[in-house]
Amino acid sequence: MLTTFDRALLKLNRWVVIAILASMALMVFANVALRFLTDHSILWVEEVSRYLMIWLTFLGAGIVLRYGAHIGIDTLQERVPRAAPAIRAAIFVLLLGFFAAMVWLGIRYAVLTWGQTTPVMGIPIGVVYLAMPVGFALMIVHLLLMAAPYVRHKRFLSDPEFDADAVQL
Amino acid sequence: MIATLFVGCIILLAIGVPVAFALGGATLAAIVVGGLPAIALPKYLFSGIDVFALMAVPFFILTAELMTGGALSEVLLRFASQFVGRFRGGLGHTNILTITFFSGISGSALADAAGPGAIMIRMMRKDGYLPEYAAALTAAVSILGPIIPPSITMIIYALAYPDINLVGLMIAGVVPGIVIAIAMAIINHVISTRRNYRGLDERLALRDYLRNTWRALPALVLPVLILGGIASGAFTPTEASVVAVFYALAAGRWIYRSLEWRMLPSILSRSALMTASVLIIVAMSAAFAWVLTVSRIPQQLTEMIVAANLSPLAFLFAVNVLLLVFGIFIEPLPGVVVLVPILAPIAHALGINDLQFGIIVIVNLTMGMITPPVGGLLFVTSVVARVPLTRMVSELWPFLWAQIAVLALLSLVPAISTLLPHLFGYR
Repeated sequence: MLTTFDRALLKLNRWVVIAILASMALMVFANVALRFLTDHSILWVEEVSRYLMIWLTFLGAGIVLRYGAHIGIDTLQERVPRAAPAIRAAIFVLLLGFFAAMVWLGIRYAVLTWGQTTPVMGIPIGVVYLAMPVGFALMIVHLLLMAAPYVRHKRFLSDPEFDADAVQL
Repeated sequence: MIATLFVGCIILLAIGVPVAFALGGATLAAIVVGGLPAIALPKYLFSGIDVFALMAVPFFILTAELMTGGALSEVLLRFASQFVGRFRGGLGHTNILTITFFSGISGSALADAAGPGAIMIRMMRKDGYLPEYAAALTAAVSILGPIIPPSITMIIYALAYPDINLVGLMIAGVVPGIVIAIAMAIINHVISTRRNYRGLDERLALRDYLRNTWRALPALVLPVLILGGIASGAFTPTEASVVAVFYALAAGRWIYRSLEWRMLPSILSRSALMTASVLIIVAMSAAFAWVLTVSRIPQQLTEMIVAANLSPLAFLFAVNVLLLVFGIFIEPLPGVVVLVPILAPIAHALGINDLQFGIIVIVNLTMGMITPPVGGLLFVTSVVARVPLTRMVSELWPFLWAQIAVLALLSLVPAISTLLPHLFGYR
């Protein structure tokens, strides 16, 4: 069963990615319409929508993890069912280490580039690059919350609204 | 450093680490071992996805999601059925034609299989087709998703090899897609004859034809709008993708009336998460490809192959074999991001047309989604048809051989890929 915290986190995380995608679509569409009608387009739309897409990628990856919907090869675990929990424990540790390294590198990179500003909006480029440490920190939280059912039984969240089978491209 | 990169990646993938993080983890390990600056990892991660052209990925995903939620598949199906339904194996042919149409709206193979594919499998089961045959046919035809424009794989391809023109590549996919559809129809005909799968015996009057076509028209406008808009230069692919989103929304809401406002949050969240899972792979693959470039392996490989004076055909043959083997294990997107920057310049240097080579690579890697034992498309269709994957495999072979034959044809006859884009002025 999900804890109250977990439920609230998932709900918030989900609404944030919905809002990001919806505003990307509205913004870019408005710009295309504007270009057709008036031959002008808003300069900052391209920049802002690109940065929103970057945030979407890093903020969404955590929930994708929860649903077991990142593409991977499970053949080995199916061949050796007895060793499977041990293999998944190893994957858990490796992912945790990788995510932690990415948080650290992401912070360093954001700090390093904070002085630069984006070409059109003139905001610090570090605001965009913060997506990486924030996203990977969020992935760590999701990874910890899913750890026990995943390692023991390879159980993920299931939700008719986000079907794990439908996500692989 | 290169050994760490490849061995690390293979081990991580084999134990079941998700593709995105296997690529990223191996890249990080190789950077540490090779003494490269670690800060380059976030740099290339960002530059891999900080591209406006990639915006078409979420928008084409969203379009397909908006179109599947509702009456669209059914309308397309009835439209297709009136032309091919009465022939032997009619429902199989209807399946092929419906998915071919839908590929002109969706940019991914799994959207094809999970949308109209799932409906067709159920109908074929009910009509007495072997469920494993229905599943195998659907999986085989669904590879058209990324071959017939729009195509997410092509967007990533143009990113991995910037010398190619994305619009030209999309136009180049049309004829090969139709050739594959015809090949699948031939196999369906042969097998239906052998097993006596009959056609549908519905007598249609002219009035029915007109009504079915009229009902399908708003849906059929979308592929025309996307391809026509891009080919004529009215839209860039990114603009076309966002126009398609709002067209699909309007058609679903006000023409077909199958789309309710309250369905939007779940459609958006599904699309957003699919986008994240695709783009995180693209980002990690970009960093992976950077380490590969630093190692100078691609450059050395190019020099070696060019010096070996290989004929273009021998090279194409070697690439096809390599990709077919690779495709069994890797997904199309990481395959494109990692292999295309190495292979496409070699092909160019050997005088192979960029568009032809792009189509061969994309068809080949997409076929990897249906080559046994594992493949995303096999997984989806076996779940829908409720047959174990292993039983689908024997039904799949005729389709796979036919696709390999098409691949040979695409390699031998450049015009199949290049003629149409040539007419529009793309080379």
